[in-house]
Amino acid sequence: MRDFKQYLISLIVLTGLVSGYVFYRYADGYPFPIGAQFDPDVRDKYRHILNEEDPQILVLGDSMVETNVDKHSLAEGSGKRVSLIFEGGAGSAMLYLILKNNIANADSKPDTMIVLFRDTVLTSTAFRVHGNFLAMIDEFAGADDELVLELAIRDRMNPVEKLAEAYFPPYWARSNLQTILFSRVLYLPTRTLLDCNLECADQAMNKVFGNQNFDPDQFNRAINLAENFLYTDENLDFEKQINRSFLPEIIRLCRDNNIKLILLRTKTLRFSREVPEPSALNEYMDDLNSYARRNDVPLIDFAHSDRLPPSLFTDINHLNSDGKKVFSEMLIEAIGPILNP
Amino acid sequence: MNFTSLTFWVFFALVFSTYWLLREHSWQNALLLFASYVFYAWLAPWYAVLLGVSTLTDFFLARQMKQQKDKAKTYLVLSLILNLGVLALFKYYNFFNTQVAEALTSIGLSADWLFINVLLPAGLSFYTLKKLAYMIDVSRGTLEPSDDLLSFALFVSFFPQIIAGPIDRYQKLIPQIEQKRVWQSSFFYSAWPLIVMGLFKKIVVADSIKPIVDRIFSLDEPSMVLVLAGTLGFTLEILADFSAYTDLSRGVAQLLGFNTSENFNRPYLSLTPTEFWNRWHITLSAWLRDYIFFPIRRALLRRKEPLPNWLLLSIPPLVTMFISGIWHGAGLTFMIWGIYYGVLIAGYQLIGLRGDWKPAGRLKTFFAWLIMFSLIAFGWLIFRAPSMTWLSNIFLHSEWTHGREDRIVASILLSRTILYSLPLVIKYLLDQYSPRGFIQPFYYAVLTLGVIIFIGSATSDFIYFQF
Repeated sequence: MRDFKQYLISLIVLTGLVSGYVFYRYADGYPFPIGAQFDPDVRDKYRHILNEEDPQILVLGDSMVETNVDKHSLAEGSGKRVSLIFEGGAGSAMLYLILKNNIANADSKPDTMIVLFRDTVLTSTAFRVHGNFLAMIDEFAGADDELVLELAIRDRMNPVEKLAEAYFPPYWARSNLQTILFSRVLYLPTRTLLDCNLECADQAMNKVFGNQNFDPDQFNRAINLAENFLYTDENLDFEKQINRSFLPEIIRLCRDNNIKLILLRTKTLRFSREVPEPSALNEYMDDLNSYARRNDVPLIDFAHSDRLPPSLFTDINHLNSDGKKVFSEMLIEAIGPILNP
Repeated sequence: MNFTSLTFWVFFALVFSTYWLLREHSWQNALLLFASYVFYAWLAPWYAVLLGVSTLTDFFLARQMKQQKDKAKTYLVLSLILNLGVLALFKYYNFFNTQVAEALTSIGLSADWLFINVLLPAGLSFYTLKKLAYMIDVSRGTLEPSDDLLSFALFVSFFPQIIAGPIDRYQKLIPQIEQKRVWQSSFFYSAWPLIVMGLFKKIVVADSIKPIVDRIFSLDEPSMVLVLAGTLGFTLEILADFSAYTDLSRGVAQLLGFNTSENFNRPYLSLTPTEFWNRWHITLSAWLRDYIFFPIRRALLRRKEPLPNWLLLSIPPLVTMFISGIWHGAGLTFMIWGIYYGVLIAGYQLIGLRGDWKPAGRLKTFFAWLIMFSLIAFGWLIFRAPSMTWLSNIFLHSEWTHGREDRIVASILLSRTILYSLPLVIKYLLDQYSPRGFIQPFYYAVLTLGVIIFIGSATSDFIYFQF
């Protein structure tokens, strides 16, 4: 009893001290804004690339655009100027922001934009929006990109989290407080003994843990684990997710900017004879197909193509150079009838 | 629904409040049984079906043992076949299915059906051991079989313990299940430090170390310095993760008026391998000791032709620890890890260093500890290695370091390991030198603040769920 009272008193005093520090150091007002906040700077490197390259076809997506699509073959095969925009690890939030703040603002907008995706990525709004991904997203977001925060972050928080974020300073400032701990305490030995600051430590981590250094089986297992999120019951429910996703906005932005949108579902090796595709994913794809048709958006689906056997993959998601060639040929064949009806 | 999720605490708040509103203990038990099945079915509904069927089977087999004493052994063998068969099927199926399917295909038989993925139900290994202990004790006549199906089913499925123990015996839990339970404030006062400690060890310590450790053990050819840092990181991670689960499990059980067993007693302070296993996963060690080690040893001692002493000292730990290894998982690394401990225990005993051995003098004690800690950490390296080929490659071909970056990453992980182990060291010192007074509550307040700062919306599963 006495111990618990002392615990409560200590906790109140400590919380008060930390709260005071948070107000002094980080707060602009109270209650605190819920969820992360974007800084006003927007990176516009892709706007410049579009202005320079003046593409007729743009392929947008994550690292799979780089490994699966051969820019020159596609340009040659389609007879059009082609640009590729890819951000490693991009989820739908980042794709939407690149479209909204870079592509739609470019002087030279593409006539056609192909969005390369796998399975439920386009409607799994909260996929890859936390931790380091949030910092990557922030690069392409402006202070007014509330929709992203609302759909990808706030909409997924439970009421207790929202209350704690708004009213409880140590919780609201937890990522700042963690950063202090990491930079001042955790990296102290590395800085002192190896003369390596935070940036140098990040570079070392990136080098040691580069994709090429992983055991292929372990790497695939890690990708599989990380992508389990795409296959939760919630994310496989298209009807529930579509209005909480960026897809309607992506379609609207393309329409408003006279960009013909094509959705391109790529193949992955996540599912096989040993691990069959869940029936919910088939239903999801049927719903996505109908939705795309209703919005006059062509959807190309390579997910079950026999022309992309496992021998053409370097891991469960990415193709090797032979695979890239085959994939690009398939893409040229598939977009031909769409571009020249 | 794991112990660090909001869903669990909402579920628990509902169970807790309804439970203490019920005055009749049979109603309380019925509610706990229902809650336990809901908790377990939350992971996958068919898990609960399997649990129900296996509970019913053992309940009736145990009663048959009492009614037909001459056939007690037959019923025990039947129970062993069923329990171990189910455990083996789920635990080792995925390990063997590819090889079996390839063999069938090579002789022209279709093997498609073999490829249906069978997932190990979480907690199966734990509740199987609980039931086996009960069945063996009933067959030995040291325990009367239960005639109350509800109590027995609750003993097997009790939700604070079902996923990862502690593996409490029937003799410990049943008297508590059958007695009247009235709310006492002491339940809360014993529970809160366990819950705070458990949340801290899981959310702040284990989950912060885990990502970088996982990455090191996923590298194709990591350098020695990375493997060393990764091993020390994992040594902390597995203790923090598993003891966190036990703390939370005990805290939750305490709030429901149950006193369950401790599973950890500062295992990394051990001086011998026997002492380590008396301090690490204590309820599993006790189970292995009572139902594997002692019976083997008794059987060897009863032989008409006595075995040489070195064999008497070596065979029981080797067999017991081999079984412990395969209980932890299918795969060569787990088997070797088990055998490794068997060899260590036998080796220490052969040179006269038994579990209660204490060297004279601080320096000797320090070196004895250092050697044992290194052996424990090496054991965790075998346990965590993705494969034995990977491990042998490290020792045969790896360089000490591939360059400055390796040293930087290793130093980052070592700093984390040291920093995150400090709270556990401080707790040990507080328990030793200041068990009473203001400092302990203050310590828990600091931990609580740590949990608030580190809490994320998604916490990874506890490591021992997979066993």
